[in-house]
Amino acid sequence: MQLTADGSAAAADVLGRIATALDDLPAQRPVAARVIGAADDLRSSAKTLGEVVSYDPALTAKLMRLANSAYFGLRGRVSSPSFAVTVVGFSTVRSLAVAAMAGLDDESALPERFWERSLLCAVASGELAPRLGVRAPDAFGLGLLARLGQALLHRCDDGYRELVASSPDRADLLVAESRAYGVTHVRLSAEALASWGFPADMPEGLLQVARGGVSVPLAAAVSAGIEISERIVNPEHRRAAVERLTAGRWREAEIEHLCSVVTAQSEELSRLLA
Amino acid sequence: MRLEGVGSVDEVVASALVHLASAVDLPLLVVATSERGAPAVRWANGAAATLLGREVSQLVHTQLDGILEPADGIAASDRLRRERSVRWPVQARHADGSTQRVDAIASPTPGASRGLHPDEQWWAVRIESPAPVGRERTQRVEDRFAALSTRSPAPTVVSDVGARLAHVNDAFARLLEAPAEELCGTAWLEHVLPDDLAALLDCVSTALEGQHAEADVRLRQRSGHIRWAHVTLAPANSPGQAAGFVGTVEDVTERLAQEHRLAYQARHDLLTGLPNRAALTEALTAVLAPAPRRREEQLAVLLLDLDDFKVVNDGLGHECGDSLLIEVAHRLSAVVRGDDVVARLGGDEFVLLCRGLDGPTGASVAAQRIIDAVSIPVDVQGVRVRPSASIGIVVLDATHVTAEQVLRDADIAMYSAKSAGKDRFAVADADAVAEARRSLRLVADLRQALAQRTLDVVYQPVVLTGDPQAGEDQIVSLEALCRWRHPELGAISPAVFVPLAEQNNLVPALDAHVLHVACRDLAAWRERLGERAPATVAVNFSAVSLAVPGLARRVQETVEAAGLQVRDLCLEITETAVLTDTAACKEALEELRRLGASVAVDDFGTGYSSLTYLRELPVDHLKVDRSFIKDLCSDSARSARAVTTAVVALARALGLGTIAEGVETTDQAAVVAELGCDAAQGYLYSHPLVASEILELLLRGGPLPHAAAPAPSSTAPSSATPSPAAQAALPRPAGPPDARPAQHLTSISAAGAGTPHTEVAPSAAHR
Repeated sequence: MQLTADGSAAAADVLGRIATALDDLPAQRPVAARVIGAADDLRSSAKTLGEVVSYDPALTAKLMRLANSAYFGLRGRVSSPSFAVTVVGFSTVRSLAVAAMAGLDDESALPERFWERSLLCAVASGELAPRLGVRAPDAFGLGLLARLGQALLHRCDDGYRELVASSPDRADLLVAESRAYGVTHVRLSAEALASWGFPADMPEGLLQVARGGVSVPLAAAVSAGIEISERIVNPEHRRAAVERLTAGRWREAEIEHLCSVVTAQSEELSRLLA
Repeated sequence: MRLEGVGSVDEVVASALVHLASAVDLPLLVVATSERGAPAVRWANGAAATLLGREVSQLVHTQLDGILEPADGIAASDRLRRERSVRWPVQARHADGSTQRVDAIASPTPGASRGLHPDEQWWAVRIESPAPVGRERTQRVEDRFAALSTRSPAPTVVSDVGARLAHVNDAFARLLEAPAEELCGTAWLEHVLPDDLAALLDCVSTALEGQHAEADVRLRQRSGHIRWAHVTLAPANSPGQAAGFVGTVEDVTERLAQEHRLAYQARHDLLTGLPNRAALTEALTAVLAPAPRRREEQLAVLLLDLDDFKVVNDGLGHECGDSLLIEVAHRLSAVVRGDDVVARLGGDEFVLLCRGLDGPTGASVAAQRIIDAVSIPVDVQGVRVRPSASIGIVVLDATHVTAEQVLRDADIAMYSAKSAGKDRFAVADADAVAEARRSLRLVADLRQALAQRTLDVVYQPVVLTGDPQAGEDQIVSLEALCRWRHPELGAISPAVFVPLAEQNNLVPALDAHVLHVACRDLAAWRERLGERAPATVAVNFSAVSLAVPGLARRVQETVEAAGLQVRDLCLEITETAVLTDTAACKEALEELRRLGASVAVDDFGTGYSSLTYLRELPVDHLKVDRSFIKDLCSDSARSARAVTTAVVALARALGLGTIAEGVETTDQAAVVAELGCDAAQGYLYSHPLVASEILELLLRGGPLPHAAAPAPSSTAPSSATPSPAAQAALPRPAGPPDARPAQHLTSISAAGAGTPHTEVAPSAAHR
């Protein structure tokens, strides 16, 4: 991995620790790492990927609960890991594995309300995706990992907690991150995905999210997903226009209803994946 | 074509292309395959050399699999076999040992090139990045599909993960009366009625597992209306992606409604709305399905038939009849309990399947209640009618197995109630049912006996009247009579089987059988006896047979098939029979008479004797009914003599011959002779004899001796024993000189079904 700090030596040190973590994490959760690799292998089938997942009981349980959640609409009809892989899709399995590998579900080692935000972003991105011409599982999976960089910063820099606390809004946080590390957590998320061998369009999509402006539909879905998750979690959030983020595919008037749907589904997933 | 100084156009173009290929950024290789070795590089461009970290010269002669390692393990030699383009995933191995996942696309060079070995094939191979290309292509396909489905009139849905919809088209949105955007994700499931959601999700699961699936579900529109939809889902999986499906959602509300209507009509009587025969049979079959001892409740079937409904229908019109039937249906439905079944079998027949009745007693109480309810007067289109009904009751027991059996028994009981005076009920008792079943069996057996031609025909001599004390009578004819010896039940009386034949439309077949046998026997006697055989055969025919079109032709065919002629035949018809359809009878008889047959009227004097028909019908002889002959020597002798005298006089006046039937005593024989009858038959002269006995009798050539039997007996067989009798012609009857010439009774009279089959039955002649 190549990360460069524009700022201080301290920042370079943090980024170095992050680079080491990215290299070390697969060894700490080898099954999750195998799942990520298998999910990207065209020769994999739902059966073989399900078999790989089965080696990690905690990951299997999460996968099964997720597949049976209301979000996927099948309500208890998924009884095998392979069918669960079929239902949620390879990209979601891969995101779950990354989340497990990076410890994103461990609240104690994460910024406040991190997992809640990640799930809200994932669900919102998935809901927004069809109208943008994006596969819902792709948007869901990328939305789930959009904040991965935050977890890495939180893990590798003790000062990050304060940085977060002093940023009333996400935009403030991104500015603060850029100032402190030379990169934002979104960029770090993209780098992590690239480092773990995700298909190029996924880290590329996150890079577009980090850059802002004109983006591919997948990036637009995740950008809008982040916006919605922030609206739900943070009352002080300075809103960005959804029409602009989605090239007019979604209207502001629809977002309130969407927020309630996203909140409900996210709460269920949060229970299931806890 | 060649260009001046620069060679052919092809060479120029090839040179230009090679120059271009060398310069472009796209990695290109030329590869040769042959049976002698693995595919090897023959040419490479700079971009390929850069990709693989080698010089172009290092690449030439390198084995393809060595630098582009197949990602799926299938060697290039196995792919480059057919002369068509092929794409496969490879790992491009850099000289430094690193690899890059790319796709190789090979296109064969056309035809054999100059200088190549015959088994050698060259391929142009280009190297592209795999993922973006694949994804873009998939996206393009999906975009096209979405554009197509959006305009499709068929409601269509597309899922890309689980039960979540990625796209729905306008038709689906219209079906649910909701914007398409609001139906994506799992929102569409909220329109499925909760009771049907499980079926739909099972269907989705099946599709996600890769199989075609269908389900019928109810969808609630935004307006609240419910629509029935037939959902058809087909799996739509992309490798490495989540499983999804493509589905069509057909609104089948109208179709189902139509099907329900048809199903209802198939099981209900459209006039009254009651279950029909099919539904009743189903219900009965259901209650009879458990083994009898496991039937937990007492069940009774009441078959109700309105009395004299025909009077209402014919007298007041069908509309009034229908109104009455509807009223009766309402009353029946009102008088039974909720779980009882009231059905209309058809016409004016209704059936009630009643539960929980206390045996025959309880059923009888219910039946009386029903009769009382039906009997309340009703105004039918301004006319006050007091309906009444007859009910047959069957209390189901272990002997009842099928619905048909139960209804048959109820029918028997109902007819018993009708016979007893109508407006009442009757419980099917074992004896009546057994008798009815016996009749049914007899009909079946009779049908079989006719088919197998196992019914017997016997012959009773007819003699010239003369001196009864002479002790010998000249045989002038023989009357054939039908006999049935049942293989198990023994002799069945004609008084039993002839009515059965009449009720079951077997009479024409019975007549035809007797005709066939009589002709056969006459032909046999002729062959054996020559001149001594009877000259003609007379066959009795029922009015039913006479009315069947084509009778004359069929009779002619039968007669001729036996080697006889129609003039060898005498037809006997009953007086009552001809009255039923004089025109049809007359036509048939005239045709047969034209062909040469003679005709005798049987049972004369018992019906509504009409002189008119005697004038109209082509008749040759009258047979005086046995009832008059029997009384000739009794207390009623005076009136009997008067009738007999009148018949004989009438016959003579019309130029017809006369025959006395049922002569059993010498006294009767004497009176018959005295009154002028030309001929007579009866037990005094002979029992009916089988064909072989007749042959034996005729072979002996003698007249019939008769036993002097002064005491009349209508039931006991005569003790007369046949004696040889010379066949003699019946004298031509006396009468006006201009009367039609009488046919001589030098014939055998063969009894058909509608006419004499036996000499013992009291009502019809010879039955």
